[in-house]
Amino acid sequence: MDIVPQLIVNSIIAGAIYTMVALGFNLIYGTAKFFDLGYGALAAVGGYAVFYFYKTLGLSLWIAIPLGMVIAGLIGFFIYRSIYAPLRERKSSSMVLLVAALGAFTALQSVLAILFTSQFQTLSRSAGDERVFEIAGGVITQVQLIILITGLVLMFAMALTLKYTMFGKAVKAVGDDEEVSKIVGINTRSIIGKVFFIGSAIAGLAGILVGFDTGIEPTMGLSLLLKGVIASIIGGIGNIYGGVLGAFLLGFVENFGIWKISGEWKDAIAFGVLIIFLLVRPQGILKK
Amino acid sequence: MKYKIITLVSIIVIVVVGSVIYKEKSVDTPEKPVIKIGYILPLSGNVAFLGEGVKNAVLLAVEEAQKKNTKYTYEAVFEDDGFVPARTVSAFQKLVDYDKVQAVVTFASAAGSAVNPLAEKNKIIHFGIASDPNIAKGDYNFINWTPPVEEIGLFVKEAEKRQIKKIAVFGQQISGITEMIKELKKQISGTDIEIVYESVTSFGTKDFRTQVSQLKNSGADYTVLMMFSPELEVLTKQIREAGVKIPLTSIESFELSDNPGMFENLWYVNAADPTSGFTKMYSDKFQKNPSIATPNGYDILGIIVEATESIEKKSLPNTSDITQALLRINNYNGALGNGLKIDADGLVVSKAVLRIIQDGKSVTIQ
Repeated sequence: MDIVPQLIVNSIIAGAIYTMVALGFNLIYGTAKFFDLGYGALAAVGGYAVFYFYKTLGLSLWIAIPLGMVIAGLIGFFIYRSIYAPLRERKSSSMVLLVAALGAFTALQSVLAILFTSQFQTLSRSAGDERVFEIAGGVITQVQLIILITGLVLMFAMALTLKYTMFGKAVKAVGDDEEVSKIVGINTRSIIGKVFFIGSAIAGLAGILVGFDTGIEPTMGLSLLLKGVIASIIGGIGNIYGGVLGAFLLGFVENFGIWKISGEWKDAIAFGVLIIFLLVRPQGILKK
Repeated sequence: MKYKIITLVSIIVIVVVGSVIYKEKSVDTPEKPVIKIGYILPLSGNVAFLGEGVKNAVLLAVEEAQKKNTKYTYEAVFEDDGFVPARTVSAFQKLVDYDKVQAVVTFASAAGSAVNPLAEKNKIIHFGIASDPNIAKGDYNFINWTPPVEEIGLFVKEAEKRQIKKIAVFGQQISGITEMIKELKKQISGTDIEIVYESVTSFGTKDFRTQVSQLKNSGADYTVLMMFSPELEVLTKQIREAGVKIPLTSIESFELSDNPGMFENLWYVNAADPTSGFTKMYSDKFQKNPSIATPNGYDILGIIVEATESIEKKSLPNTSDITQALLRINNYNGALGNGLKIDADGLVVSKAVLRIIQDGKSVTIQ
């Protein structure tokens, strides 16, 4: 039996997961020009919010998932307004912001561990009974298909929003030059706040879908964040299409990279690709 | 007036000093010296249910020790390492520096490997509930766990009986599991069994899809899982989702899951069974069956008690005395059976068993 079709499907699934993380991360970075580490923990926040509403309170998924996204978005917005915005206004260095983001990340992770314990949890109610589809010789589950479709829908929705709405144009303007945007009358603080809300809600959605696919734990955000960052950098940081391209490229490189060697090398391969890009093409595949 | 005050103060001083002296003299018998044993267990995190099981068993062992007329009082001190070796090391330092324990017990090979050199350096007795035989190296280190040679021996025997020729192995980067895989390779050499696929991943890996695709094409008759929770359950889910029909078995792993129902009707090899007496005592007390490693945790305390009590010394025995006494233990009757002894390598020798999951519970079949 040929393994290649399944490897391609696996790569696409991984790429779709990284796409969602990279989309939100790129949106925030592209606008605020700031490496938001706390973003990773918001994926876990989304996952745990759905765990609470869906599995503990027994609410419908149609209510629990939007609630999970809104909670992740609100927490992201709150962190921006209470921590990052004052630091940015004081013209704090990027190192100070990075440390503050690391603090927010660690605090959120700890709060989740206190509230829900560090125990690994699954969001699906009936493990192993999931619908499975066969596509061109590869197998894909219902959740993985949803992840793939969601990633693509998000990418197009974001691209259209940025191109055709006033909000999108303001986001691009702030991303291009925050000071000039202020001069022309854009409320940059409000725009960046909204970007943090949207980006964090996307992170929450990524955490929710990963929770249905594999499971959730308070520390899940770090690995997701790292993969999202690698995808963003190799695709072109701040560029939405670049992030998606980088995410799928990373998915393919990781999965095909361990085809003939041990799975332990997966992360090493991902970071190896990152280093190569940083040395050879630091601006990524697509420039902003 | 001045004389009255001086007289009153003198009386108070005499009364206070007198009562202190009286109190000191009136202590009829001195309290028994205390021997402290520290248990570093995963009481939080993904395998907290296993740590809780061992803790319960140890509390039971302390109760049992207190019923006996012993020369010393035995106390168990518990520390949580959350199954993170770095936290095991800080817990060890706390137990040694603050609690002044004479012995430390660790859970799983990663923790045992971290504590082994520290135990030697600090001259603290260390018992590992772990597979990696290297953990017993040194004068102060011991293991109370069925060794890989026993478990793999039984697995190979069972595999030959079932005419299994090709196996796929999934393991994790932890010394106990790598030792187990090493032993498996050693014992299958010269048999008809071969490993057609092997995957060892690090802790925290949740995406096994590529490995599962490779497994699907490996031509294996059986898949042997040697993993901890939650990676064990995530891998099993991904194997089933990919439609891989190769039957699963494991060495210990199914007992490390808090969802054994996931492995219904699957046979596996496990470390030694507890005695029916211990199982009953545990179930009566805690209203549940003992989980994996509970009899080992129980017996370690009992063995230390027996060894320490056997020392003929007027003063409190030091860890070196207890270590020597431990090596003389050759007929201990405990939760893992009768006649237990510590061999020259520092191992409490016990036999592996064959088990099956039925109705979500482990049942010994051999």
